[in-house]
Amino acid sequence: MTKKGRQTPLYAEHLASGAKMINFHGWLMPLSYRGVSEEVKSVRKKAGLFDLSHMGEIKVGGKEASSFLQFVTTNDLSRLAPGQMQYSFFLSSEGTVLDDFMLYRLAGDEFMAVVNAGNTEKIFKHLQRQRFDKVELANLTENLALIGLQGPNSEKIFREVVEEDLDGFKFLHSKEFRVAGEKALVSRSGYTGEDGFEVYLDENKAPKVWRAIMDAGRPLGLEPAGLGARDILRCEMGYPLYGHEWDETITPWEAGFSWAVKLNKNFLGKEALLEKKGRISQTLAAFVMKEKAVPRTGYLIKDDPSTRTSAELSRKPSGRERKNIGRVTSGTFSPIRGDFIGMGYILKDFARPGEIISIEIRGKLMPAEIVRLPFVKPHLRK
Amino acid sequence: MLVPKDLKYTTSHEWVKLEGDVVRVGITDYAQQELGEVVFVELPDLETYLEQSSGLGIVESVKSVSEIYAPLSGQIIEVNNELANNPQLVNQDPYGQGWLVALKVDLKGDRHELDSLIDSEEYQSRSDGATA
Repeated sequence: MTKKGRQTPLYAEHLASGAKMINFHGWLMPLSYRGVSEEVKSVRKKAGLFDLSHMGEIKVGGKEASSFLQFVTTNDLSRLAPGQMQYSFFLSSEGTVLDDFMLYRLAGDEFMAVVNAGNTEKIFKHLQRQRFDKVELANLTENLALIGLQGPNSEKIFREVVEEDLDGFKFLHSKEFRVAGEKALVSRSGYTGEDGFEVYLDENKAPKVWRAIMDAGRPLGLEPAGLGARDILRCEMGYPLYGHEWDETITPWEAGFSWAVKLNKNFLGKEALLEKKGRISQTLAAFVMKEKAVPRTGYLIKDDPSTRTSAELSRKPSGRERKNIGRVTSGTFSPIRGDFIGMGYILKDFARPGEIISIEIRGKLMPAEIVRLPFVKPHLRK
Repeated sequence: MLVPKDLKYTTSHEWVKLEGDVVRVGITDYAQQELGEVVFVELPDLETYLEQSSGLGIVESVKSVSEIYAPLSGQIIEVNNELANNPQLVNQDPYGQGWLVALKVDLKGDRHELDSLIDSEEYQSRSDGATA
């Protein structure tokens, strides 16, 4: 292998399973094992096991931890009890997204932020700059492995490798478990739309625990799944991903994520965000291609007047020009639906469900219909 | 990786089967493995004339899009319409049912173009280098 990058503690397991490896934000990660579509179907129908050790884990502790996090994140910590987790944002002072992440409250003054691999260093530096006096920060990424078990058979499989009772262990809750005999922090969570568990543990124990879960799960249809499947699974749910739907030019408003921004508190970027609130012209919309073609990241979205229905024409009687109305942020073939789906930022007027937009694919305009999310129905244990 | 001995190859991973003045074209086993699952194939219209190395079509996989180039100059006389409904034939049988197009070539006039194709041995050694 000439591919270079940081290896996760499960690197040898991936090679032994015949994974096709790629460099993802500096990490050598499995793209796929048996085939991306097959892995997606396994996760939707049975279960899949993911190595997510590239994700960043930043521990925030100390007496002022909760007032500090209340200031640097957008969601409301006062609604977060120990053993719970919430989706939140770190914003720049301009109100744009530095990262979207999951915040775990482990104890009263002890938190863990799980951030995107490509943003770990940036966020750690950001937090160091903003740090309050009585706050301790630690980047745990280097020595922490993360294994994700996802799919409808997850609970059955997980019961085989833990002693503790899973009854009452609900979605977006976390707890210490012994998994295959090893101490681990486990949350009932994931980013696939299926039930599942995410297991944080010491890197040295990761290969043993990975193998134990695989062995317990194989009779129930468990197979390893790579980043290719993970990307399709989150697209089918319409879940945003940093670098695609989020970046430092986008505010949470544009993607319709005001539910994760609580204006009843003060936080970094709030002023700029409030100022931008009434002036947002684009919105994140989901669409399904009318023809066979993959809408890829960065493709332009255009308005083609020739595709208008008469009702639309009376509402938008514009000329014949095909003007730019947006850009594709994510797109893929959906193995579950059997068609081509995508998301993108589109001018609000063109983003109503049922509207026909055009995606410019290699110089040709291909029609797509705006739809409501999700593309595939989720199955979470709330 | 399969590299049949009776075919000619391009460095851009197309294979060519000479059948008189008609050549059948597809992508190699190596190419389909690198691309991963093919979800869509775009091919030219019948009778289109293509210059050597010009764009012949598009093969899209789950994760990437790849342009296919005409290995020789010629006119499209057949396209594999099966691929519209079953693009995964490119993965399952790249040298058989997964063929892309047939071109009518003028081997007398364009004889020198054949020299730019490589044989199975050379293709194998080049691609081994690329995978290592």
